[in-house]
Amino acid sequence: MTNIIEIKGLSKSYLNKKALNNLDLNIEKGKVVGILGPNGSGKTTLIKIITGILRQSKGEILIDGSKPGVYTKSIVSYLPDRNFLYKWMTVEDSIKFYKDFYKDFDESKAYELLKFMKLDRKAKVESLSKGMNEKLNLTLVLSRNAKIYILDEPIAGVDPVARDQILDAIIKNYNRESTMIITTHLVRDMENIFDDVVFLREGVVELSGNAEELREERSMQIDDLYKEIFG
Amino acid sequence: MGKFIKYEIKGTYKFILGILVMLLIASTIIQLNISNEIKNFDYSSVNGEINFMRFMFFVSTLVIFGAAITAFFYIVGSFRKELYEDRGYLTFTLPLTGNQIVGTKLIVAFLWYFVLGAAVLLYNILLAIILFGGQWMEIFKDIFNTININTLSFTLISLLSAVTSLILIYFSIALSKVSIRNKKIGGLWFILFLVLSAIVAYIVSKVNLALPYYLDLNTFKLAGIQELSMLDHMSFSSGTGRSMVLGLGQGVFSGMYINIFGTLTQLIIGIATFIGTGYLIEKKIDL
Repeated sequence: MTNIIEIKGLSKSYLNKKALNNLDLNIEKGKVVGILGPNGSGKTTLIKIITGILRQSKGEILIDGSKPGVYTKSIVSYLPDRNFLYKWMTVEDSIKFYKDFYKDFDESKAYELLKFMKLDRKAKVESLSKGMNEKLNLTLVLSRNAKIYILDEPIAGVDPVARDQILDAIIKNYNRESTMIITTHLVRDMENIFDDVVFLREGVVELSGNAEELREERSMQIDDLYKEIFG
Repeated sequence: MGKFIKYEIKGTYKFILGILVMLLIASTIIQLNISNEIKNFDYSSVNGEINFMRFMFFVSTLVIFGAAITAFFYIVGSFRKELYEDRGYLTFTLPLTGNQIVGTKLIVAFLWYFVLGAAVLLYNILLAIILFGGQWMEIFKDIFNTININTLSFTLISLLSAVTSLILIYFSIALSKVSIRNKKIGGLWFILFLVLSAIVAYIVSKVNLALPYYLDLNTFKLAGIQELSMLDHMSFSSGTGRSMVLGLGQGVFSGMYINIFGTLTQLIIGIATFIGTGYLIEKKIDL
Protein backbone atom coordinates (compact mmCIF):
# COMPACT_ATOMS: atom_id res chain seq x y z
CA MET A 1 0.00 0.00 0.00
CA THR A 2 1.26 3.50 -0.80
CA ASN A 3 1.23 6.25 1.73
CA ILE A 4 -0.87 9.26 0.80
CA ILE A 5 0.34 11.20 3.84
CA GLU A 6 3.85 10.93 5.29
CA ILE A 7 4.71 12.75 8.48
CA LYS A 8 8.20 12.74 9.95
CA GLY A 9 9.34 14.32 13.24
CA LEU A 10 6.48 16.83 13.22
CA SER A 11 6.46 19.32 16.10
CA LYS A 12 4.33 22.34 16.78
CA SER A 13 4.98 24.46 19.80
CA TYR A 14 3.16 27.50 21.05
CA LEU A 15 4.68 29.90 23.54
CA ASN A 16 4.34 27.69 26.59
CA LYS A 17 3.14 24.38 25.23
CA LYS A 18 3.96 21.69 22.73
CA ALA A 19 0.89 20.73 20.74
CA LEU A 20 2.74 18.12 18.63
CA ASN A 21 5.96 16.52 19.77
CA ASN A 22 8.18 14.86 17.16
CA LEU A 23 5.27 12.97 15.65
CA ASP A 24 5.81 10.27 13.02
CA LEU A 25 2.80 8.97 11.11
CA ASN A 26 2.07 7.44 7.73
CA ILE A 27 -1.46 7.22 6.37
CA GLU A 28 -2.18 4.69 3.64
CA LYS A 29 -4.21 5.40 0.56
CA GLY A 30 -7.78 4.09 0.62
CA LYS A 31 -8.14 3.84 4.40
CA VAL A 32 -10.54 5.39 6.89
CA VAL A 33 -8.35 6.50 9.76
CA GLY A 34 -9.65 7.58 13.14
CA ILE A 35 -7.44 9.99 15.04
CA LEU A 36 -8.52 9.62 18.62
CA GLY A 37 -7.64 11.51 21.72
CA PRO A 38 -9.07 13.80 24.38
CA ASN A 39 -9.27 17.57 24.01
CA GLY A 40 -5.82 19.11 23.78
CA SER A 41 -4.14 15.94 22.51
CA GLY A 42 -3.07 17.64 19.27
CA LYS A 43 -5.73 16.25 16.89
CA THR A 44 -6.87 19.59 15.51
CA THR A 45 -3.31 20.94 15.34
CA LEU A 46 -2.27 17.93 13.23
CA ILE A 47 -5.23 18.40 10.92
CA LYS A 48 -4.64 22.11 10.53
CA ILE A 49 -1.05 21.42 9.47
CA ILE A 50 -2.23 18.82 6.92
CA THR A 51 -4.77 21.28 5.49
CA GLY A 52 -2.19 24.05 5.22
CA ILE A 53 -3.69 26.60 7.62
CA LEU A 54 -1.04 26.11 10.29
CA ARG A 55 2.72 25.71 9.97
CA GLN A 56 4.79 23.22 11.88
CA SER A 57 7.67 24.39 14.04
CA LYS A 58 9.77 21.39 13.00
CA GLY A 59 9.54 18.26 10.91
CA GLU A 60 8.30 17.31 7.50
CA ILE A 61 4.91 16.55 6.00
CA LEU A 62 4.15 15.30 2.51
CA ILE A 63 0.65 14.94 1.10
CA ASP A 64 0.50 12.94 -2.13
CA GLY A 65 4.21 13.75 -2.41
CA SER A 66 3.83 17.52 -1.97
CA LYS A 67 4.24 19.94 0.91
CA PRO A 68 0.99 21.63 2.00
CA GLY A 69 0.17 24.31 -0.61
CA VAL A 70 -2.11 25.08 -3.52
CA TYR A 71 -1.90 21.54 -4.96
CA THR A 72 -2.62 19.77 -1.69
CA LYS A 73 -5.53 22.13 -1.02
CA SER A 74 -7.03 21.07 -4.34
CA ILE A 75 -7.02 17.38 -3.34
CA VAL A 76 -7.99 17.70 0.32
CA SER A 77 -11.64 18.10 1.26
CA TYR A 78 -11.70 19.53 4.76
CA LEU A 79 -14.50 19.78 7.29
CA PRO A 80 -13.37 22.12 10.10
CA ASP A 81 -14.91 21.96 13.54
CA ARG A 82 -16.54 25.37 13.07
CA ASN A 83 -18.93 27.31 10.83
CA PHE A 84 -16.53 28.29 8.12
CA LEU A 85 -18.95 29.33 5.37
CA TYR A 86 -19.31 33.03 4.57
CA LYS A 87 -22.20 34.52 6.52
CA TRP A 88 -23.86 36.17 3.51
CA MET A 89 -24.31 32.84 1.72
CA THR A 90 -27.44 30.81 1.21
CA VAL A 91 -27.22 27.02 1.02
CA GLU A 92 -27.35 27.29 -2.77
CA ASP A 93 -24.59 29.94 -2.84
CA SER A 94 -22.32 27.63 -0.89
CA ILE A 95 -22.85 24.84 -3.43
CA LYS A 96 -22.07 27.18 -6.33
CA PHE A 97 -19.00 28.37 -4.46
CA TYR A 98 -17.66 24.83 -4.06
CA LYS A 99 -18.45 24.08 -7.69
CA ASP A 100 -16.49 27.16 -8.77
CA PHE A 101 -13.39 26.40 -6.75
CA TYR A 102 -13.08 22.62 -6.76
CA LYS A 103 -12.86 20.77 -10.04
CA ASP A 104 -13.71 17.53 -8.25
CA PHE A 105 -17.04 18.87 -6.94
CA ASP A 106 -20.09 16.85 -7.98
CA GLU A 107 -23.07 19.22 -8.01
CA SER A 108 -25.74 16.57 -8.52
CA LYS A 109 -24.35 14.61 -5.60
CA ALA A 110 -24.53 17.76 -3.50
CA TYR A 111 -28.24 18.26 -4.28
CA GLU A 112 -28.92 14.59 -3.55
CA LEU A 113 -27.20 14.93 -0.20
CA LEU A 114 -29.13 18.13 0.55
CA LYS A 115 -32.33 16.20 0.03
CA PHE A 116 -31.11 13.37 2.22
CA MET A 117 -30.16 15.86 4.94
CA LYS A 118 -33.52 17.65 4.47
CA LEU A 119 -31.87 21.01 3.93
CA ASP A 120 -33.64 23.91 2.23
CA ARG A 121 -31.46 25.25 -0.57
CA LYS A 122 -32.83 28.79 -0.14
CA ALA A 123 -32.01 28.93 3.58
CA LYS A 124 -29.42 31.44 4.76
CA VAL A 125 -26.28 29.85 6.21
CA GLU A 126 -26.46 32.22 9.17
CA SER A 127 -29.96 31.07 10.11
CA LEU A 128 -29.12 27.36 10.32
CA SER A 129 -28.96 25.53 13.65
CA LYS A 130 -25.73 23.84 14.71
CA GLY A 131 -26.91 20.45 13.51
CA MET A 132 -28.15 21.81 10.18
CA ASN A 133 -24.91 23.69 9.70
CA GLU A 134 -22.91 20.55 10.33
CA LYS A 135 -25.05 18.72 7.77
CA LEU A 136 -24.54 21.42 5.15
CA ASN A 137 -20.79 21.53 5.75
CA LEU A 138 -20.62 17.76 5.44
CA THR A 139 -22.72 17.85 2.26
CA LEU A 140 -20.22 20.21 0.65
CA VAL A 141 -17.18 18.28 1.82
CA LEU A 142 -18.51 14.86 0.79
CA SER A 143 -19.73 16.08 -2.59
CA ARG A 144 -16.15 16.47 -3.71
CA ASN A 145 -14.44 13.48 -5.29
CA ALA A 146 -11.30 14.32 -3.37
CA LYS A 147 -8.24 12.18 -2.81
CA ILE A 148 -8.30 12.92 0.89
CA TYR A 149 -11.20 13.81 3.19
CA ILE A 150 -10.46 15.30 6.57
CA LEU A 151 -13.33 15.52 9.01
CA ASP A 152 -12.62 17.28 12.28
CA GLU A 153 -15.12 16.22 14.95
CA PRO A 154 -17.98 15.69 12.47
CA ILE A 155 -20.57 14.64 15.04
CA ALA A 156 -19.60 16.73 18.06
CA GLY A 157 -22.48 18.71 19.53
CA VAL A 158 -25.27 17.42 17.28
CA ASP A 159 -28.36 15.53 18.42
CA PRO A 160 -28.54 11.70 18.06
CA VAL A 161 -30.86 11.81 15.02
CA ALA A 162 -28.59 14.20 13.13
CA ARG A 163 -25.62 12.13 14.28
CA ASP A 164 -27.03 8.99 12.63
CA GLN A 165 -27.79 10.91 9.47
CA ILE A 166 -24.26 12.30 9.34
CA LEU A 167 -22.71 8.88 9.92
CA ASP A 168 -24.95 7.39 7.20
CA ALA A 169 -23.86 10.08 4.78
CA ILE A 170 -20.20 9.47 5.53
CA ILE A 171 -20.49 5.71 5.02
CA LYS A 172 -22.59 5.98 1.84
CA ASN A 173 -20.51 8.64 0.17
CA TYR A 174 -17.05 7.38 0.88
CA ASN A 175 -15.25 5.61 -1.96
CA ARG A 176 -12.35 3.19 -1.63
CA GLU A 177 -10.11 5.23 -3.91
CA SER A 178 -9.97 8.00 -1.32
CA THR A 179 -8.53 8.31 2.12
CA MET A 180 -10.55 9.61 5.03
CA ILE A 181 -9.18 11.00 8.26
CA ILE A 182 -11.66 11.57 11.06
CA THR A 183 -10.88 13.02 14.46
CA THR A 184 -13.25 12.37 17.30
CA HIS A 185 -13.54 11.79 20.98
CA LEU A 186 -16.95 10.16 20.47
CA VAL A 187 -15.34 6.81 19.72
CA ARG A 188 -18.29 4.52 20.36
CA ASP A 189 -20.41 6.17 17.65
CA MET A 190 -17.73 6.07 15.02
CA GLU A 191 -15.50 3.10 15.67
CA ASN A 192 -17.22 0.82 13.17
CA ILE A 193 -16.21 2.93 10.22
CA PHE A 194 -12.49 3.05 11.00
CA ASP A 195 -9.98 0.80 9.22
CA ASP A 196 -7.08 2.15 11.25
CA VAL A 197 -6.92 4.11 14.47
CA VAL A 198 -4.29 6.43 15.90
CA PHE A 199 -4.38 7.32 19.60
CA LEU A 200 -2.86 10.72 20.28
CA ARG A 201 -1.77 11.92 23.69
CA GLU A 202 -0.03 15.26 24.28
CA GLY A 203 1.11 15.46 20.69
CA VAL A 204 2.61 11.97 20.55
CA VAL A 205 1.24 8.77 18.97
CA GLU A 206 0.45 6.57 21.95
CA LEU A 207 -0.80 3.63 19.91
CA SER A 208 -1.78 3.01 16.31
CA GLY A 209 -2.84 0.10 14.17
CA ASN A 210 -5.56 -1.71 12.31
CA ALA A 211 -8.84 -1.37 14.22
CA GLU A 212 -9.91 -5.00 13.72
CA GLU A 213 -6.53 -6.38 14.74
CA LEU A 214 -6.47 -4.19 17.84
CA ARG A 215 -9.93 -5.43 18.82
CA GLU A 216 -8.80 -9.04 18.47
CA GLU A 217 -5.44 -8.52 20.13
CA ARG A 218 -6.85 -6.70 23.14
CA SER A 219 -10.23 -8.46 23.20
CA MET A 220 -12.05 -5.19 23.54
CA GLN A 221 -13.79 -2.55 21.48
CA ILE A 222 -11.85 0.51 20.37
CA ASP A 223 -14.07 2.58 22.66
CA ASP A 224 -12.97 0.49 25.66
CA LEU A 225 -9.37 0.69 24.54
CA TYR A 226 -9.76 4.47 24.37
CA LYS A 227 -11.04 4.51 27.93
CA GLU A 228 -8.18 2.28 29.06
CA ILE A 229 -5.58 4.52 27.48
CA PHE A 230 -7.02 7.89 28.43
CA GLY A 231 -9.17 6.94 31.42
CA MET B 1 -8.84 34.42 -9.14
CA GLY B 2 -11.70 35.82 -11.23
CA LYS B 3 -14.08 33.57 -9.32
CA PHE B 4 -12.75 34.76 -5.99
CA ILE B 5 -13.24 38.37 -7.11
CA LYS B 6 -16.84 37.49 -8.02
CA TYR B 7 -17.54 36.10 -4.53
CA GLU B 8 -15.75 38.97 -2.84
CA ILE B 9 -18.05 41.37 -4.71
CA LYS B 10 -21.10 39.25 -3.87
CA GLY B 11 -20.21 39.30 -0.19
CA THR B 12 -19.67 43.06 0.03
CA TYR B 13 -22.00 44.72 -2.46
CA LYS B 14 -24.97 45.16 -0.10
CA PHE B 15 -22.93 47.18 2.36
CA ILE B 16 -21.38 49.29 -0.40
CA LEU B 17 -24.83 49.93 -1.89
CA GLY B 18 -25.96 51.14 1.53
CA ILE B 19 -23.00 53.54 1.64
CA LEU B 20 -23.84 54.71 -1.88
CA VAL B 21 -27.45 55.46 -0.93
CA MET B 22 -26.22 57.50 2.04
CA LEU B 23 -23.79 59.40 -0.18
CA LEU B 24 -26.47 60.17 -2.76
CA ILE B 25 -28.93 61.38 -0.13
CA ALA B 26 -26.26 63.58 1.43
CA SER B 27 -25.27 65.00 -1.98
CA THR B 28 -28.90 65.76 -2.75
CA ILE B 29 -29.31 67.65 0.52
CA ILE B 30 -26.13 69.65 -0.11
CA GLN B 31 -27.14 70.61 -3.63
CA LEU B 32 -30.72 71.47 -2.64
CA ASN B 33 -29.29 73.61 0.09
CA ILE B 34 -27.00 75.49 -2.28
CA SER B 35 -29.84 76.01 -4.73
CA ASN B 36 -32.04 77.32 -1.90
CA GLU B 37 -29.34 79.69 -0.71
CA ILE B 38 -29.07 81.12 -4.19
CA LYS B 39 -32.82 81.60 -4.44
CA ASN B 40 -33.09 83.22 -1.01
CA PHE B 41 -30.12 85.46 -1.41
CA ASP B 42 -31.74 88.24 0.57
CA TYR B 43 -30.04 87.58 3.90
CA SER B 44 -31.91 90.36 5.64
CA SER B 45 -34.83 87.99 5.92
CA VAL B 46 -33.11 85.00 7.37
CA ASN B 47 -35.75 82.54 8.36
CA GLY B 48 -35.97 79.22 10.14
CA GLU B 49 -36.15 77.24 6.96
CA ILE B 50 -32.78 78.51 5.77
CA ASN B 51 -31.20 77.77 9.13
CA PHE B 52 -32.57 74.25 8.98
CA MET B 53 -31.18 73.80 5.47
CA ARG B 54 -27.79 75.09 6.60
CA PHE B 55 -27.85 72.62 9.42
CA MET B 56 -28.67 69.82 6.96
CA PHE B 57 -25.80 71.00 4.75
CA PHE B 58 -23.43 70.59 7.67
CA VAL B 59 -24.87 67.18 8.59
CA SER B 60 -24.64 65.99 4.97
CA THR B 61 -21.01 66.99 4.72
CA LEU B 62 -20.35 64.94 7.84
CA VAL B 63 -22.28 62.02 6.34
CA ILE B 64 -20.14 62.04 3.19
CA PHE B 65 -16.98 62.16 5.24
CA GLY B 66 -18.29 59.44 7.54
CA ALA B 67 -19.38 57.24 4.64
CA ALA B 68 -15.94 57.42 3.04
CA ILE B 69 -14.30 56.43 6.33
CA THR B 70 -16.86 53.65 6.95
CA ALA B 71 -16.24 52.22 3.47
CA PHE B 72 -12.51 52.35 4.14
CA PHE B 73 -12.76 50.50 7.46
CA TYR B 74 -15.19 48.00 5.96
CA ILE B 75 -12.70 47.19 3.21
CA VAL B 76 -9.82 46.91 5.68
CA GLY B 77 -12.04 44.83 7.98
CA SER B 78 -12.84 42.40 5.20
CA PHE B 79 -9.16 41.42 5.03
CA ARG B 80 -8.81 41.30 8.80
CA LYS B 81 -11.84 39.01 9.11
CA GLU B 82 -10.13 36.40 6.93
CA LEU B 83 -7.33 36.15 9.46
CA TYR B 84 -9.30 36.40 12.67
CA GLU B 85 -12.70 34.83 12.00
CA ASP B 86 -13.89 31.34 11.08
CA ARG B 87 -14.35 32.30 7.42
CA GLY B 88 -10.56 32.06 7.11
CA TYR B 89 -10.98 28.28 7.32
CA LEU B 90 -12.76 28.46 3.98
CA THR B 91 -10.65 31.14 2.31
CA PHE B 92 -7.26 29.72 3.22
CA THR B 93 -8.12 26.14 2.27
CA LEU B 94 -9.14 27.18 -1.25
CA PRO B 95 -6.58 26.20 -3.90
CA LEU B 96 -5.41 29.81 -4.27
CA THR B 97 -2.01 31.38 -3.73
CA GLY B 98 -1.48 34.08 -1.12
CA ASN B 99 -0.91 36.63 -3.89
CA GLN B 100 -4.24 35.75 -5.50
CA ILE B 101 -6.05 36.30 -2.20
CA VAL B 102 -4.35 39.66 -1.47
CA GLY B 103 -4.73 40.69 -5.13
CA THR B 104 -8.45 40.00 -5.01
CA LYS B 105 -8.91 42.05 -1.85
CA LEU B 106 -6.99 44.92 -3.42
CA ILE B 107 -8.84 44.84 -6.74
CA VAL B 108 -12.27 44.72 -5.09
CA ALA B 109 -11.33 47.54 -2.70
CA PHE B 110 -10.36 49.81 -5.59
CA LEU B 111 -13.31 48.71 -7.66
CA TRP B 112 -15.66 49.84 -4.86
CA TYR B 113 -13.87 53.16 -4.44
CA PHE B 114 -14.08 53.70 -8.18
CA VAL B 115 -17.79 52.78 -8.28
CA LEU B 116 -18.59 55.01 -5.29
CA GLY B 117 -16.59 57.92 -6.71
CA ALA B 118 -17.96 57.64 -10.23
CA ALA B 119 -21.57 57.18 -9.08
CA VAL B 120 -21.43 60.17 -6.72
CA LEU B 121 -19.76 62.34 -9.37
CA LEU B 122 -22.23 61.47 -12.13
CA TYR B 123 -25.21 61.84 -9.79
CA ASN B 124 -24.03 65.26 -8.69
CA ILE B 125 -23.50 66.43 -12.26
CA LEU B 126 -27.01 65.32 -13.24
CA LEU B 127 -28.52 66.88 -10.15
CA ALA B 128 -26.67 70.12 -10.80
CA ILE B 129 -28.06 70.22 -14.33
CA ILE B 130 -31.59 69.69 -13.00
CA LEU B 131 -31.25 72.25 -10.21
CA PHE B 132 -29.15 74.92 -11.86
CA GLY B 133 -29.83 74.35 -15.52
CA GLY B 134 -27.09 74.34 -18.11
CA GLN B 135 -26.16 72.03 -20.91
CA TRP B 136 -24.87 68.68 -19.81
CA MET B 137 -22.67 68.50 -22.89
CA GLU B 138 -21.01 71.74 -21.84
CA ILE B 139 -20.38 70.46 -18.34
CA PHE B 140 -18.83 67.25 -19.61
CA LYS B 141 -16.75 69.26 -22.08
CA ASP B 142 -15.47 71.39 -19.23
CA ILE B 143 -14.57 68.27 -17.28
CA PHE B 144 -12.77 66.75 -20.26
CA ASN B 145 -10.92 70.01 -20.80
CA THR B 146 -9.39 69.78 -17.36
CA ILE B 147 -7.92 66.38 -18.26
CA ASN B 148 -4.37 66.91 -19.36
CA ILE B 149 -0.99 65.37 -18.75
CA ASN B 150 -0.69 67.17 -15.41
CA THR B 151 -4.00 66.07 -13.92
CA LEU B 152 -3.55 62.56 -15.27
CA SER B 153 -0.10 62.26 -13.75
CA PHE B 154 -1.34 63.70 -10.50
CA THR B 155 -4.12 61.09 -10.45
CA LEU B 156 -1.66 58.33 -11.24
CA ILE B 157 0.77 59.38 -8.51
CA SER B 158 -2.10 59.69 -5.99
CA LEU B 159 -3.38 56.26 -7.02
CA LEU B 160 0.07 54.74 -6.58
CA SER B 161 0.29 56.27 -3.14
CA ALA B 162 -3.22 54.99 -2.23
CA VAL B 163 -2.45 51.46 -3.49
CA THR B 164 0.84 51.38 -1.60
CA SER B 165 -0.93 52.51 1.59
CA LEU B 166 -3.63 49.85 1.27
CA ILE B 167 -1.04 47.12 0.63
CA LEU B 168 0.89 48.39 3.64
CA ILE B 169 -2.30 48.06 5.72
CA TYR B 170 -2.79 44.46 4.53
CA PHE B 171 0.86 43.74 5.22
CA SER B 172 0.57 45.18 8.74
CA ILE B 173 -2.55 43.10 9.46
CA ALA B 174 -0.88 39.90 8.21
CA LEU B 175 2.33 40.66 10.10
CA SER B 176 0.52 41.36 13.36
CA LYS B 177 -1.38 38.07 13.03
CA VAL B 178 1.77 36.07 12.30
CA SER B 179 3.97 37.68 14.93
CA ILE B 180 1.52 37.51 17.84
CA ARG B 181 0.07 34.07 17.36
CA ASN B 182 -3.63 33.60 17.83
CA LYS B 183 -3.96 36.65 20.02
CA LYS B 184 -6.32 39.31 18.86
CA ILE B 185 -4.65 42.55 19.81
CA GLY B 186 -6.96 45.08 18.19
CA GLY B 187 -4.73 48.03 17.42
CA LEU B 188 -1.41 46.32 16.81
CA TRP B 189 -1.80 46.34 13.04
CA PHE B 190 -2.50 50.05 13.14
CA ILE B 191 0.65 50.80 15.11
CA LEU B 192 2.63 48.60 12.70
CA PHE B 193 1.05 50.46 9.80
CA LEU B 194 2.01 53.86 11.21
CA VAL B 195 5.59 52.75 11.82
CA LEU B 196 5.93 51.15 8.37
CA SER B 197 4.34 54.17 6.66
CA ALA B 198 6.79 56.46 8.38
CA ILE B 199 9.70 54.26 7.28
CA VAL B 200 8.43 54.18 3.68
CA ALA B 201 7.90 57.96 3.62
CA TYR B 202 11.41 58.46 5.03
CA ILE B 203 13.01 56.16 2.42
CA VAL B 204 11.12 57.76 -0.47
CA SER B 205 11.97 61.28 0.65
CA LYS B 206 15.66 60.31 1.08
CA VAL B 207 15.70 58.89 -2.45
CA ASN B 208 14.02 62.03 -3.79
CA LEU B 209 16.68 64.19 -2.16
CA ALA B 210 19.60 61.97 -3.13
CA LEU B 211 18.50 61.60 -6.75
CA PRO B 212 16.68 64.81 -7.64
CA TYR B 213 15.90 63.96 -11.22
CA TYR B 214 12.52 65.12 -12.37
CA LEU B 215 10.44 64.26 -15.36
CA ASP B 216 8.94 67.29 -17.05
CA LEU B 217 5.47 66.06 -17.81
CA ASN B 218 4.85 68.47 -20.64
CA THR B 219 7.96 67.65 -22.61
CA PHE B 220 8.80 64.22 -21.11
CA LYS B 221 12.37 65.38 -20.65
CA LEU B 222 14.42 64.38 -17.69
CA ALA B 223 16.12 67.13 -15.78
CA GLY B 224 17.99 67.75 -12.57
CA ILE B 225 16.32 70.07 -10.12
CA GLN B 226 18.84 72.93 -10.51
CA GLU B 227 18.54 72.73 -14.22
CA LEU B 228 14.76 73.01 -14.02
CA SER B 229 14.91 75.92 -11.61
CA MET B 230 17.43 77.83 -13.68
CA LEU B 231 15.62 77.33 -16.94
CA ASP B 232 12.16 78.13 -15.77
CA HIS B 233 12.88 80.37 -12.81
CA MET B 234 10.70 78.08 -10.83
CA SER B 235 10.00 78.02 -7.22
CA PHE B 236 8.84 74.68 -5.91
CA SER B 237 5.61 74.75 -4.07
CA SER B 238 6.53 71.82 -1.90
CA GLY B 239 9.69 70.42 -0.40
CA THR B 240 12.16 68.71 -2.67
CA GLY B 241 11.73 65.52 -0.65
CA ARG B 242 8.36 64.96 -2.33
CA SER B 243 7.80 62.63 -5.27
CA MET B 244 5.88 65.26 -7.15
CA VAL B 245 6.37 69.00 -7.24
CA LEU B 246 4.47 71.86 -8.75
CA GLY B 247 6.39 74.30 -10.84
CA LEU B 248 5.36 77.88 -10.18
CA GLY B 249 7.35 80.01 -12.56
CA GLN B 250 6.91 83.66 -11.51
CA GLY B 251 3.88 82.75 -9.51
CA VAL B 252 2.18 81.07 -12.46
CA PHE B 253 1.56 77.34 -12.53
CA SER B 254 4.00 75.95 -15.06
CA GLY B 255 3.52 72.20 -14.78
CA MET B 256 4.13 69.23 -12.58
CA TYR B 257 7.35 67.40 -12.15
CA ILE B 258 7.63 63.81 -10.98
CA ASN B 259 10.73 62.57 -9.23
CA ILE B 260 11.67 59.45 -11.18
CA PHE B 261 13.58 57.57 -8.50
CA GLY B 262 11.26 58.43 -5.64
CA THR B 263 8.24 57.22 -7.58
CA LEU B 264 10.13 54.11 -8.66
CA THR B 265 11.09 53.42 -5.04
CA GLN B 266 7.47 53.72 -3.98
CA LEU B 267 6.45 51.32 -6.75
CA ILE B 268 9.08 48.79 -5.70
CA ILE B 269 8.06 49.05 -2.04
CA GLY B 270 4.42 48.52 -3.08
CA ILE B 271 5.27 45.40 -5.07
CA ALA B 272 7.55 44.07 -2.31
CA THR B 273 4.92 44.49 0.43
CA PHE B 274 2.31 42.90 -1.84
CA ILE B 275 4.50 39.82 -2.35
CA GLY B 276 5.38 39.91 1.36
CA THR B 277 1.70 39.86 2.35
CA GLY B 278 1.03 36.99 -0.07
CA TYR B 279 3.97 35.09 1.39
CA LEU B 280 2.85 35.67 4.98
CA ILE B 281 -0.69 34.44 4.41
CA GLU B 282 0.41 31.48 2.33
CA LYS B 283 3.45 30.26 4.20
CA LYS B 284 3.25 31.63 7.71
CA ILE B 285 -0.44 31.58 8.43
CA ASP B 286 -1.52 30.26 11.83
CA LEU B 287 -5.28 30.00 12.07
